[in-house]
Amino acid sequence: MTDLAIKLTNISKKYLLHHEKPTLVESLFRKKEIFWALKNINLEIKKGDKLGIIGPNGAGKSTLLKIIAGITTPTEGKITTDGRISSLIDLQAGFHPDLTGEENIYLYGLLLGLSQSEIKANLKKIVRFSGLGKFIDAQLFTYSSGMKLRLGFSVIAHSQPEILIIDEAITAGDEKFRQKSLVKMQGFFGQKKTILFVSHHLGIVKEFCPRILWLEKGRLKTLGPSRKVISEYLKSSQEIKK
Amino acid sequence: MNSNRFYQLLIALTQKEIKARYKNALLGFLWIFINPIIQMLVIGFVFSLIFHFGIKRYYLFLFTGLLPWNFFSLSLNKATQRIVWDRHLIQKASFPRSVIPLSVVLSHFVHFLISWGLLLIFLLFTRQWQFFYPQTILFQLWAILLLFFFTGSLSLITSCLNVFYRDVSFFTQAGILIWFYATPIVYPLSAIPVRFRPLFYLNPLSGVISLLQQPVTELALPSTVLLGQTGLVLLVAVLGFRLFVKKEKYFSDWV
Repeated sequence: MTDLAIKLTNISKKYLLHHEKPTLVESLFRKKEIFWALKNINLEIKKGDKLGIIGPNGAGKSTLLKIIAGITTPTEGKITTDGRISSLIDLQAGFHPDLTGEENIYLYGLLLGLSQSEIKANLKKIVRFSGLGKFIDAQLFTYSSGMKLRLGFSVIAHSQPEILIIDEAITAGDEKFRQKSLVKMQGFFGQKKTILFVSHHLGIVKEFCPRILWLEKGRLKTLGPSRKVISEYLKSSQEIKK
Repeated sequence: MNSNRFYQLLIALTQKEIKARYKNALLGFLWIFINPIIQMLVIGFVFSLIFHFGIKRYYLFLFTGLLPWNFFSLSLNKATQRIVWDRHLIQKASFPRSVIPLSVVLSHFVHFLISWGLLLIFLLFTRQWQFFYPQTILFQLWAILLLFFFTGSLSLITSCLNVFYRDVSFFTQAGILIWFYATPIVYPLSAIPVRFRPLFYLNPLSGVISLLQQPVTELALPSTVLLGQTGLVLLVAVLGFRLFVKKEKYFSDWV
């Protein structure tokens, strides 16, 4: 393979606007309204790159991440990725309240793309990192929301992705765990992983990512060195205020 | 997509279904048996008072038909809505979506197998040898396989369509209600006038249930019908699978 981790060619994504639940009846009578969330995105990300993604709400950041993560399919264009992708988008999506913490680790890990044996090999580390101790055998509905976040973060942190997608700053659990996860995140940024980082905290993005992609209304506005893109971005949002 | 991951995920989700259902239930696994027994007593009481189609062991006849029917109707009802209910998974992770409806069907299938096993043990103790002839055992296996494939493929179709048209689950519920009476469960196929029978043969469940009830009714199903229905089930399986694979890429846009 080449040294490219992700390659997007002319990616566009069209959505139908639903005002209510989609039904058979509606589809027969209603006219369809469409909306382009992304339009003609071309992007090459090399292995080991750390790319920040910024842009106002509704710019298409989440859609872009979903396409890269393989959660949704582009309407037009081609995407190729190389390597396992994990996303720190939602830390609790795969959890089931009636299962125990340990059972949830297995389920969540499989959903993330790990194999049974990989999870088994990492189980001790995951449990230790989560700091849940003896609660790992309790059913999940007995957990506090902080405990659930910690468990989710621990599984993802040990999923050894080659491409990591991080949406918004991850603030999981109490101060102690936050410190621990920050160290782990910095560790990720230090390794040869490819990282896509979406955040509204421009300072953090600048600190972690040498390059930044600016999305605006579904189009790629600028891609370049962090400092330059951020100062342009700030300038444009100032102008809107005036 | 490597197939190993598919099976591991399918099995893990099936285990989740089973564990989650009974974890906090007092009677636990007994519930799989309690429902059909209540159903059998109610329907059996009504029909044995009115008309029992000349079947001597009417309760046994009913039970052997209700167990597979309950598997079918429960699986289909639950699986149809499931992809929409599991939207948080669809939107957050990338995995073969078919594991969601199939795990629902598989978990109900495990229940069905356990309850059928319990039924066979009961029949063994009451010396109902006609259930254990090599030929009837073969027919039972065939029927159970057909039932599983038919339910699984149909649920792929309905669960997929329900993502795009939410009223599909209502159609399915209503359809199942009608289907119950259109399938020879409370009555034998022999109660249907000969000229209407071809219509009933179009329904693969008529074959499945006739085969399972055969030791009680002693009515054989024409082998051409059985082969035809097997072909029909395979056709539904191929169509269902192809539809699902074609559409699953777009699920996350609709849930």
